Amino acid sequence: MNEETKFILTALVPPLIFLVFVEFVPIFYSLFFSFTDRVIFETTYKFVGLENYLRYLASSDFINNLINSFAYGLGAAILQTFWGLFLALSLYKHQSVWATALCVILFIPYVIPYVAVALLWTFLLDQTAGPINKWVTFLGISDKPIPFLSSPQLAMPTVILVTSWMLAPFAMLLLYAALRTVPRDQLEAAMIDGAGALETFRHVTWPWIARMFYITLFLRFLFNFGKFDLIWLLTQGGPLKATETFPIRVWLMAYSEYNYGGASAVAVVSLLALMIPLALFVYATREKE
Amino acid sequence: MSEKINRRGAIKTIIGTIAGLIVGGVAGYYLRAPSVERITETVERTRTVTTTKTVTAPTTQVVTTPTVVTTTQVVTTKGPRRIAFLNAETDKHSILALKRAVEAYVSEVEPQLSIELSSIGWTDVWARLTMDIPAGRAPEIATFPWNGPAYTLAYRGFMEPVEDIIEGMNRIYGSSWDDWGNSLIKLEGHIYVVPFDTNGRTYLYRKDIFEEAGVSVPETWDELIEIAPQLEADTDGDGKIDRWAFAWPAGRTTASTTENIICLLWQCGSKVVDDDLNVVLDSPEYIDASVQALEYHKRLVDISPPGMENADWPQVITLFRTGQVASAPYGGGRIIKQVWETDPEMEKNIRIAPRFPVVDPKNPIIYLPIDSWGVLSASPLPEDGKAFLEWLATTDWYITFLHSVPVHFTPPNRKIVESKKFWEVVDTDPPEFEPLVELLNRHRDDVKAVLDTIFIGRDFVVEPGNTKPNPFTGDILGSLILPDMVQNYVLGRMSAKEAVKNAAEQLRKLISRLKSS
Repeated sequence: MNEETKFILTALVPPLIFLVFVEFVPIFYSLFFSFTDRVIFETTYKFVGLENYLRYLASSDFINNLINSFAYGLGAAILQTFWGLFLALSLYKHQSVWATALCVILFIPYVIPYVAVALLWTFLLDQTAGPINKWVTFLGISDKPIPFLSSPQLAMPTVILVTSWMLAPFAMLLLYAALRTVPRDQLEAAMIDGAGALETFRHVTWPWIARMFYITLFLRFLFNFGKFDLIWLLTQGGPLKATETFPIRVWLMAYSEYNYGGASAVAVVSLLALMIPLALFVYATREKE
Repeated sequence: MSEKINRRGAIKTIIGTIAGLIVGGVAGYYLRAPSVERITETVERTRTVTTTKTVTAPTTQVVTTPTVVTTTQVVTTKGPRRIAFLNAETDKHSILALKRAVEAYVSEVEPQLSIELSSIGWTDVWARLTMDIPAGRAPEIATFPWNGPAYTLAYRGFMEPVEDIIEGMNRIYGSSWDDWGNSLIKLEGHIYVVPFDTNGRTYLYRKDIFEEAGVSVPETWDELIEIAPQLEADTDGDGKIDRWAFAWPAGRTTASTTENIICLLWQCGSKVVDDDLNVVLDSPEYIDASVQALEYHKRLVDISPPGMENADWPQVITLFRTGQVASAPYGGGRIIKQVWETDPEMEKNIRIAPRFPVVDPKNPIIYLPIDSWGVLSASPLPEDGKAFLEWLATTDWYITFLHSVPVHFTPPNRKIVESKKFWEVVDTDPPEFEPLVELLNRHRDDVKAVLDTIFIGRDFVVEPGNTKPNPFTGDILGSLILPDMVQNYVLGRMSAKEAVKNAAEQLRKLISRLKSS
C-alpha cells in the first residue's frame, strides 16, 4: 500500500462511513418507506407501490407545497444575500473598530435561538399589542392593524422577511470575507482613474466577489428550502396553507396524520424537486471550456 | 474559489451519490431499528388475556373475544430497575409534586426501582411517543393531554388496561365517573386512562368589566354577540378600540380551533363521524347544522381582536391576562393560577361562568377532553409502571398533584372533589402548596363550574349519539382538517357549505387510509 492509498484510506474512509450512516441511511429509509403504508408507530407495513406518490402528486397540496417551497426558498435567499451584501459593503467601506463592533452586533440575530426569534416577531407583529402595528396606525400608514401573519396574502412575505432578518448575517459574513480578497491596488487605481462608486463596484469589486455571491445565494436557497422550524413557529403552515412548504407537509403527514409512508413520499418528492435547481446551478457554474 | 465545478465533476457526484445510496441502503436494511416484537433476547413472557369486548359509553352491546397477547420484555438484571415517566404537566408546582412523589415511592416503597421523570410540552408528547414506540423505548407512564391518543394507542395494542387502578381510587373516594357524559370510556371492556383533570370548555370573564358595562354573563352565543359592543372599550382614549368582548381563536392548530369547532358542531346538532366511522359532517342530516356551526365560529371571531386567524390558546391566555379581552374560552381553569402569580389584583376579578355559552339552551353540550395518565404496554417494564401509577393515584400524592394547579386540576369524579382532602392541605403537600390550597378555596364556585362541565361534556372519542369509541380520534384531530375547514370559511376562501364538504371529503380519505392500514 503506497503513501497515497494510505492517505486516502485514513482521510476519506472515516468521513465516508459517517456520510453513509448519517446521510444515506436516512435517505434510504425514506425511500424505502415511501413505497409502504407504514403508520408511524406501527412496526408492520405492506408495500403499496407508487400509491403514496400518486396520491400526493394528484392532490392540491403538491402544487401548493411546490410553489410555497420555491417562493420561500428563493425569496428568502435573494433577500438574505442582497441584504448580506449591503451589510458587507457597508462594513468594508468603513473599516474600523466600530465597524468590527457593528459586525458583531449585526451578527446577533443569527445566533438567537429560532424559538426566541419566532416569539419576538410574533409579538412585534401582533395585531393588538405589537409595536409595529402600533406605529403603522400611529403614522397613518393604515387605519387598522396589518394582519402580517394571519392574512393568506401577507403571511409568506412576512415569514420571508423574518427569516431574512435572522439569517442575512450569514451571507454578510461570507461576502465580507470575499470583499477582503479584492486587491487594494485595483481599487486605488480605479479611484485614481476617476471611477465612481458604482463603476468601481461593477468593474473591480464584483468580479472578485461574484462567485461567492452566487454560492451564498445558492447555499441560502438550499438551507431555506428545507427549513421547518421558523415557519412552523410563526404560522404552522397557515393561514389557509399559505406558508405550507414541503417540510411542513412532511411533518403534518408524519406526526399529525401518522402517515409515515406518505410523509416519506413527500420527502422524496421534495428531494427530487431540489435536484432541478441543483443541476441548473452545477451547469451554470461549470468551468467554461 | 478556485475549485472547478464542471460536467465531469457533476457526473462523478451523481455516480457517487447513487453508489452511496446503494451502500447506505444495504447498510440501512441490516441496521434498521428493531421492531418492538424483535426484542426478545432476555426474558420472554407470554400472557393470555381473555377480554370481554364490551363497547360502552353508554352500554350497548357485548361481544366476548378471547385475545392472546404476547409481550416481550428486556429486563435489566444488573442494578436497580429503571422506568420512565413522560410528564406533560409543566407547571413548576406540578413538576415539584411529581418529583417528590417519585422520590417517596423509590425510598419508601420500591428501593430497587429508579424512575426517570422527564417533562415536555404537551403538544410534544404525541410526537415523542410515536417515535419512542417503534424504537422499543416507550416510557412506562405518560401524560395524555386528552383521551384520544391513549385510545388510538390502545386500539393498536400499545396500552395497558388500568381499571384496577380506577377501582382502587373508587374504594378511597367512591365513584361518580358516570356523571360524566362519556363516563370512563371502555375499549374492548378495558379502561386505559387514569384521569386527573377535566378540560371541559369554560367561559372565563372579568367580573369588574361586566359590572361596569352593566351586562350579565351570557348563556348563549347570541347573547354574547349582542352584548359585545358594550364590553368593547377604548381604554387609552386614542379613538381606537383596544379592549374586545371575547377571544375566539381560528389558528391552524390541533388544539383550540379544532376543539372549539367540534364544540360548536355538537351544539348545532352536527357531528363528525357516526358509529361505523362514516363521515357524516356533510350528510343531508347534518350539513345545515355543520354550516351553522361554521357561521357561529366566524361571528365569534368577528367580536374578537384582530389576528385570531393565527391564534391558539397561548394568545387567548395572553389577551385575557393583559386585559385586552373581557372574556375568553378555555379548557378548565388554569388561567386563574397564572393570573394569581402575575397579577393578584386581577385574580380577584376573574370568574368562571356557571355554564359555557351554547347555541341553543335546549342542547347544552360542550367539548370535554380529560387529561390523564396511562401505562404503555409497549414499554420495557409496564408492570412496574403500573404499580407506581396505582400507588400515585391511591395515595395522598394524587391530591398533592391536584393541588399543584388549583381549579384546573378538577378530576371528572365528583366524589373526589367532594372529599375533605381535596380542600385541605394534606401531609404530602410541600410547604409552598399552602397558598395554592388557599387559592383553591377562594375559587370554590369556579371549581364547581369546572366540575359541572362533566354533566354536559363529551370527549371526542365518543361523539353525541354514538356508542362506540372512535379509534381514529387522535388521527382526525391531529390532521388539521377541521381547523383548515374553519380557515377556509373565516378567511373567505370558500362558502361555509363548500368548506364543510371539502373537509368531509378529506376526512373520508383519511379514515379510508387508516382503515386499510
